[in-house]
Amino acid sequence: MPKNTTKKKTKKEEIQQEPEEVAPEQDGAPVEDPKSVEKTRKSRKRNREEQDKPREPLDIGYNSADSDDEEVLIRTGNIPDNWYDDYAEGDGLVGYDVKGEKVQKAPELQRDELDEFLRRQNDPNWWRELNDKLNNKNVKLSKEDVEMIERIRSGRFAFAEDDNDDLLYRPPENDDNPEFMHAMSDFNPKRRYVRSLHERKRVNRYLQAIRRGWLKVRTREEILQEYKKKNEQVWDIWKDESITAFRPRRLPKQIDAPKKDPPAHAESYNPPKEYLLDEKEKEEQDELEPEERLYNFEPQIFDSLRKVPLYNNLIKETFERCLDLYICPRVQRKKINIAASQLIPDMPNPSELKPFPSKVSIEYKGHDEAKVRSLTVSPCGKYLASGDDQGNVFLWDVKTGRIRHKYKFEGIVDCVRFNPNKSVLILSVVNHNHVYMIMPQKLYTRDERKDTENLIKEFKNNFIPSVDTSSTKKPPCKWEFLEQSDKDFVERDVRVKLEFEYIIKKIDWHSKGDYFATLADNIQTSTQVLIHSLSKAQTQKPFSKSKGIIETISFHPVRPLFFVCNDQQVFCYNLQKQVLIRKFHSGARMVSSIALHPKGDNFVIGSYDKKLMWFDLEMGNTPYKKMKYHSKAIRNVSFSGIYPLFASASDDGSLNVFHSQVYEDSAMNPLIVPVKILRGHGVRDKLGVLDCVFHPDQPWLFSAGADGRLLLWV
Amino acid sequence: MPKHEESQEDTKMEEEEEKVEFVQCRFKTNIKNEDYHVEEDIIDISSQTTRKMLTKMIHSLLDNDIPKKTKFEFLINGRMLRGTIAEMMKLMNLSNDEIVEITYTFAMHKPKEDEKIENDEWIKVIKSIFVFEERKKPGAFAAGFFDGTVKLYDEEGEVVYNKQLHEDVVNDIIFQKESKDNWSLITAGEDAEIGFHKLSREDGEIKDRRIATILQQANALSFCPTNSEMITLAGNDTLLKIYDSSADVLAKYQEKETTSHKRTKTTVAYLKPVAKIGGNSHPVNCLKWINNSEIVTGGYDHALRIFNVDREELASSIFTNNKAITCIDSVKDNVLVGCEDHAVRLWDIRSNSTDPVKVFKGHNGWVSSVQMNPSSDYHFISSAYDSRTLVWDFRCDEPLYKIGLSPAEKIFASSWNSSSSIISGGDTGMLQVHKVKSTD
Repeated sequence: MPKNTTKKKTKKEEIQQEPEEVAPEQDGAPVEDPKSVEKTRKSRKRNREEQDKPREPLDIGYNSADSDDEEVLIRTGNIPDNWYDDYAEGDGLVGYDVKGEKVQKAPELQRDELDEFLRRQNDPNWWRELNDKLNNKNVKLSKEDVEMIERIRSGRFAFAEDDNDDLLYRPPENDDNPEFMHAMSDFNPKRRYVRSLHERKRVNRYLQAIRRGWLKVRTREEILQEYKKKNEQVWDIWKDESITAFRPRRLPKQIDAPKKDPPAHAESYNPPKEYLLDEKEKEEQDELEPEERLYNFEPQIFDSLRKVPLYNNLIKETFERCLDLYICPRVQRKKINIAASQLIPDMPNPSELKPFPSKVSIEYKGHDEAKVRSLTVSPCGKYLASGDDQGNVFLWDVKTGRIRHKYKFEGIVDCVRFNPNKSVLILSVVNHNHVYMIMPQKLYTRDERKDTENLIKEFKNNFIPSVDTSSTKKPPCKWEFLEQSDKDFVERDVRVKLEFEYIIKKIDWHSKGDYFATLADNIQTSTQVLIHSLSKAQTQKPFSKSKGIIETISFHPVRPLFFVCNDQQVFCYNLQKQVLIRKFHSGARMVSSIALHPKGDNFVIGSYDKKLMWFDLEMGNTPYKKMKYHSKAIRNVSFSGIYPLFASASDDGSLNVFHSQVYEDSAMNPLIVPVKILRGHGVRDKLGVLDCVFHPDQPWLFSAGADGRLLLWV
Repeated sequence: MPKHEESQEDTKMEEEEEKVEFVQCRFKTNIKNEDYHVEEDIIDISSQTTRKMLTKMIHSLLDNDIPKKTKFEFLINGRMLRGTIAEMMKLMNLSNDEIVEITYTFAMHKPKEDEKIENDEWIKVIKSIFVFEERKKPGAFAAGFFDGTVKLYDEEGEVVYNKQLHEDVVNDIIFQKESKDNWSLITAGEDAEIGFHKLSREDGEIKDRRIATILQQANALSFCPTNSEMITLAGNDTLLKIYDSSADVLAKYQEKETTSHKRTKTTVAYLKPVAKIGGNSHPVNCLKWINNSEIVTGGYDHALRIFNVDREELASSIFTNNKAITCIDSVKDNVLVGCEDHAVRLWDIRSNSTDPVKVFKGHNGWVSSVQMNPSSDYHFISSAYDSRTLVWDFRCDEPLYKIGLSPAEKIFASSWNSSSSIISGGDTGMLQVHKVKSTD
């Protein structure tokens, strides 16, 4: 390579020298006639001829339009010329031609440094000879060639004869016309030579920032390191699937316009008769909305195709179609194939969640046709009490189904509840605007009764009958301890009688068995809910203001909390502090019943709009789970005391039993699984199952229906 | 296609026809009477043969003059044949290549209604007289009623004794003969009293005398199998208690009574328990002696508790998967348990498994009583609140006979009176006696 460069340099020098010789000639004899140009050329030729002998072939080359220079004569392929330099087979191998034969370097190209030197010494025109490696030969420059090169380098036309051609474009020459000045490149305004004040300020600001440490400047090394790091990072193509799955971003896929339905028989010009509409059908079709019509045109019959007139709506419909295609965005929907079974939540098999009640074991017969409104199981689990709307209260032996005793009241018995305290043998009966505390003598032996009798005597001593008759306000509740001679005492074993202002609907005992709450039916007053203490024989008014009509109430089993439900909300009060603690939104329209989990952290609400809501006291004010399994209103819900079960009774005559596992770990959500639908009750007067209650010790469920049946499910 | 289907059906039909296979059988019997023995040859029998056809076959094989109406039961590998042999073999996973041994025995006769004794009050308990030895003839029996009345019936079903002994339901009765005209009767009532009575027949009339009282609620009473003066009982207080009612003890407690109440010369002794064994957590419904030293009890705590009386401790418990036990009976180590969920279960107390050996499903209500046939190891009766008393065989999954009463009635009690009659009673107050003919 150095060989070539030196050669070129020397050649350049020579060329630069040359114009001095040639230029005066040209200047001195400006030629206009092409013939004269030819002449000068020839004369030049002649001068050279004396020096150059082998110039003829080149001359031919100049005459042809396509010069041979551009043609590749030796085809050895597009390979670098140094490939075969170190080839063992000796110098001079250039490559292989198309036929696979060796191509040797031309001898003039094979000259080494020494030969070259010698040649230069000998030949004064050595600089005219140039290597043409591509064509594997040497080229000798003629005088014309040199002249042409000169002209080109000095910015003139290649041939002298073109100089006078006006048709050719010449760039304006500055030297000739100094008045002409390029607006952008030639004029330098002052600001180019003066330091910018703005820049200086800016630089000062950066300087200050760097000095004070506000701006951190990376050193050159740091930048280099960073750059290095960036370059060192190798892209792992297998690392991320998204990279390998990378597709160049494209335009959204074109979605074809929906195809029009092909014309059917009715659209024919000569449709079969059955497709034609008679007048009646026409009227019917006209009454319908355009979208609902059978056809959007009227099928017509013509004798021949040429009698078919122009379709009236053609333009309108075509326009509408275009409008549809243009305005309605078309979206390609991805179909996801999911089996229906995958969508079902993973639930344990009900058979693994045994025990739960599943079939009728005993039917308690005695209510006949009366609707059984309420039932309750004694805390010992041996007796069952039920009240119906004919005023009967039956006491049953759970094991045998025998009626142990029967009390008769007037009107409807709305609610019966045993005192949940095992040692206080009291049954409370709600009858119209009375609440009776009954000590059922027939159920218990004398020894068992003794404690309760003593207790009642004690309560009686505590009782101070209100003698204050002067006050105009009637007390909301009047207590009365009956004497042994009383009729109620003898006939109905009533020990305490409470008389209320309003009709009472429900009674709920606190789990200790001393406090109980009563709820008046469908009256919006502040005395709708009253809390009583049996031991003190006192009545308290817990709320000064009414919270709407209250539907149901319940004591908390463990903590001193009290739950009050109106139509849509559940209020939770702390009885000790006398404050409202929580307010729950049931999400139902008409709450019918509430049941608290025996551990006290959860409760369930049943509603007349068929919903069942599970609330967690620690999980906010909305239901943790909403369930809708009944087809009619839910009348009652009930929890089992020891088994993880709860049940709902509904007007559709069925009971639903749920498994409800509540975990000690508060982080775990309760597991609620519907396990069984119990069918057996009939529906009468649109009323189905009115009450249900679990046995205190067993996984048994008692249910009372409007059909007068009382069933034990095991 | 349709043609193809038809051809398929045809092949199916052919297959079914081919299925009428023959099984190689060998008859065996455990009937002692040699008149009923058949030659032990291998016979080819159609696999579709039913019990009736087999009975005919046996009759034809027996040349002797045996009564034509004799019915047989057929057992394959200890299971009673119901349906066809093929079904049975499929159930038991037997291959057709094997020789099937069919054992035949006399079938139990159908219990025939014999007597109806009407009462006003619901019957809570029926007990036949307690005897140590096996008896063939029905003996006297007692019935306890819901109003506290106890009635004694003699062998003919005549009332010989009728008295209200309790204020409340009679929960259990046991009675036994002491001598020809003397009986001892013990009754437990819901009114927390257990009364010991001596009955004696004088001039054709039975006179009773209360000799002792236990102030205790009990659901179940039982004599000790070795000593009838020892009594075990259990009730709602969950304790298993053992009382000694021998003359010495009675005298001891009587003396105390007479000293404290000088004026009223009562001869009633208030007994105190000899032993109290705890172990149950819920009320006990029933108890049964398995052998001379062990008692099994069942109740609401969902477990069979086995107590060792000698050591006065709870020996073991078998949990019943949350099924309350309402009644219990045992034969050897197998305990029959009636549950509230309509089923009767059979447990082997020697195994620790919580699963029963067998479940007998046939009732449709709370099972109120089960009792083994005193002279058979296989037959037992159970009654439930579905108005039916069922006769079962251990070797069969279905009940052998259904003894129906009037519909919509709860049966509270049923009992074998020896092995020849079944007495049952419930909430119609009617005592029904069914005679069972002996098979021999």
